[in-house]
Amino acid sequence: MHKIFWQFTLIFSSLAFGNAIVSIFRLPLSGSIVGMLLLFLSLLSGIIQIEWVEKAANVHLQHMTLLFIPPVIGALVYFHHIHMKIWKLGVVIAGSSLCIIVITGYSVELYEKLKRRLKQ
Amino acid sequence: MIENMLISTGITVFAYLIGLKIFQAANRNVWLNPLYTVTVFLFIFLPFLHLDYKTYENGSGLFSILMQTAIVSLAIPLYKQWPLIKKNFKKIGTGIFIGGAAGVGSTLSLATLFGIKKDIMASLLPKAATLPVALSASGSLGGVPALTVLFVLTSALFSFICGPKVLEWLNIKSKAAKGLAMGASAQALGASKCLQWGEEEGAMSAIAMTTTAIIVSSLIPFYMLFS
Repeated sequence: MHKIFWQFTLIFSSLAFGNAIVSIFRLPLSGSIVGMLLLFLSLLSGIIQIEWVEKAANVHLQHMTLLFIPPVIGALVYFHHIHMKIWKLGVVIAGSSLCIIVITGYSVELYEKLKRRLKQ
Repeated sequence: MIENMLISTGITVFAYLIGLKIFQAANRNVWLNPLYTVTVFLFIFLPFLHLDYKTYENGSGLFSILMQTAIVSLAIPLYKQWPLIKKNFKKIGTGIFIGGAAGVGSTLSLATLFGIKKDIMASLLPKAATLPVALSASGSLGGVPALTVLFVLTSALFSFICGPKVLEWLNIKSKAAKGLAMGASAQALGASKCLQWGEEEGAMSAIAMTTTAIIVSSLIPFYMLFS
């Protein structure tokens, strides 16, 4: 248990570093993304060993659902306050989701086909 | 204040543990995911506990901090997938970048077409990213985080249900293409579907999930510069 606590402290420190970098350099990114990149680079360069953070990160990611509960409840409450046609939102969501699926799928397949042709 | 926090956190964790037990007992049936059961349960029973939603939300600050450390934790799966990413760097990069740009672009144009207001637009834009990333992006854009949650979840659910059929109709057979498309659109739900298809599809969708998050969160500052 205390091992997970120390591992979590390391993850939290990455977040704190990320936040500090964002506010010092006034980056338009969020501190957590910068923190993630910092931790990722530290892992790649070997400054931090994967065993030092793996356990806490796995537990954390496994139970990520727990963290979504309060915002989803907030969403349900807020939903009554949207004064607009819901179907419009539905079309935007469905349309752009289809766009992502179709365009990502096609561009990856096209890339693979082109590469195969170049090889021949 | 501290009292609020203890109550909100305590109730949520307690309800989650029960929801998780039910989920595991039901062989991980997708529809019994604790996110749905616990949310509905709390939504209905909070008023009975004489706890109004505002107080509950004010007390849930711990969870938003943990959401940020969850984003940082994504470095671990990213690190583990790194050999596979490096091997297919151009393929993944091309697909995810074009797909992510198409997602942000189509949302922007459809929303403009329908005359959707600025704050709702800001909550819509980051919806292709995984939830924690989308939430922080929505906040910095001036969106309503509560709405972003709703948008992220509905678009993930929609993609999870329709994605496999769409890919079949378009006759897309490549494992990488299927995995990346599902991961980029349906995130964790897509990854769970892809794992059933096979190992390569599963790994690709997990990669798509993390890289889409990075790309969406780095595209959004550009949008802010121009708007």
